[in-house]
Amino acid sequence: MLPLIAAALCLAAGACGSGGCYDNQNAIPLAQFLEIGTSKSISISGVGISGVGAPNDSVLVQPSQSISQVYLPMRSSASSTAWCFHYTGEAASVETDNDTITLNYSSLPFFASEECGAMYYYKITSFSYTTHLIDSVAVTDSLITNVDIPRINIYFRAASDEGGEGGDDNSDNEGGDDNNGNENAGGEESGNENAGEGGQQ
Amino acid sequence: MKRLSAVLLLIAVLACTAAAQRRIKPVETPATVTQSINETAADTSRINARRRAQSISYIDDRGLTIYVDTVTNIEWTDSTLIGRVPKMIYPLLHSASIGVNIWDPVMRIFGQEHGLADIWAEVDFHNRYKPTVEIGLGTASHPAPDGRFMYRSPLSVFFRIGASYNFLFNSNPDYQFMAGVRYGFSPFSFHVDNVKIPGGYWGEPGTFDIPSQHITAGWLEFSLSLRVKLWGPVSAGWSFKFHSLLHESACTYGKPWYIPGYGTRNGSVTGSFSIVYTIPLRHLNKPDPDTVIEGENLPEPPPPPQDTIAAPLPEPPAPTPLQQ
Repeated sequence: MLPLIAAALCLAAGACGSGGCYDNQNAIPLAQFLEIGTSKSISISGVGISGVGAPNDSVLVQPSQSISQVYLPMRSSASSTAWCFHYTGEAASVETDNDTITLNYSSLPFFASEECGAMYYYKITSFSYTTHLIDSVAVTDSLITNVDIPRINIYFRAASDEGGEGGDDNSDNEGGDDNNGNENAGGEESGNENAGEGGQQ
Repeated sequence: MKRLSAVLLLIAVLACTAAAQRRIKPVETPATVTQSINETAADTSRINARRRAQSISYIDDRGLTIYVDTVTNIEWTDSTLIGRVPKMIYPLLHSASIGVNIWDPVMRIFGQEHGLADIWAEVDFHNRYKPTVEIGLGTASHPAPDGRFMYRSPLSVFFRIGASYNFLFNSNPDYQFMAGVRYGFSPFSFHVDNVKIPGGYWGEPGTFDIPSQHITAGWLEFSLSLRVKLWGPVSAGWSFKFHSLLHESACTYGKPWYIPGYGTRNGSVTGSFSIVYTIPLRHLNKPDPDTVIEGENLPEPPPPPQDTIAAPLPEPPAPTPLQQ
């Protein structure tokens, strides 16, 4: 009888919940860096990433770090969040040419699970970006949840293309699909700023 | 010439007729006579048929037919009959039971923050098949371990319907080992209060509430149960359950953590402990025609008619002596 009880308890323990959260405890979009043309993941260095209007000008990523992905936390109390990509060193021809990515969204309170808790999900309604070193941005899923997968693809130009071609490519993205399937709208040819409609693309 | 042809034709017809009437008589030797006997000598079915023809039989307490050879008084069992499902020894309407599941109340004493109680009723056919209905109430008030939210589910009703099968159906009904299947469903609601979000990178902490959501969920449940008689009509039953959600309503603000009657959604295994009261129903069955009626239960014979009692039989006339 005792082995039977022990087996039942083992089965119960294995079938019960994990007791842990395998996803994030907040809905934070994960952005990955890709090379335009090949769509291969790349690591970049010499880029400082910070939120526009962040308290104490705190930095998400230091320029000394080499990264291929980055979490871009959203402001739960606002409907728009912008991040600045500040290029330093060899990565930039002109250090003042920063790129900015802006996401516009609506917040949705959501109970994920007992382990992961409750949080805000974010539904991206539109987005925009500048194109100094960034070629384009694609949002693969407009609903930002706590599932830990990349939702934003940031395409950088290849090393040979770097330096000065920035805004010339904007005309290709105006009001249509670019090479990466990203539907952009309202591209400004002179201002190096593109805007995309949020949604699963 | 014509006469010769007719004679030849007649001879040919007679010859054919004679050939058709020929008979071949088989040659019988001692070997051919015993051949069929020898070939079937080891046939078990024929052997048993012969033994059955010269035996009497009775059915033992296991439901097996036991033959008794009337010559040698040897008991034997027809091997071709072994393996058949034994006859059910308990009547169709055997009993009815009601039970109270006290698993959740006991677990709440030890700190569980969900569940309440349920009651169930079943009818026992042949001490074997047990259709069951269950009804209960469930509630939850569960704070997150780190205090980040408070999960609440108001008092809600749930139902289960299904059946159990008693493997020990021809044994003492005081001890039962059962497998069961249930379908359960519950309409309920839940809400999450006081959700705290940390300030994080933006330094903007806050709190919010997730509004109440009304949901109907259904699940399937398989169980293994033991039931043991405690005293008189009272018994105790343990169940080990495996369950899985079948359907639930779409939820805008997230799926429920607790479902009344099911438990927490991340658990596939649960249990129950019931106190059971059993009511016998044997008296509702038609009497078995094969049942031996005991002497004390025989009905009183009707009184004989009055006109046949008074007249005693007349004395037989005395024999008259033979007159010489």
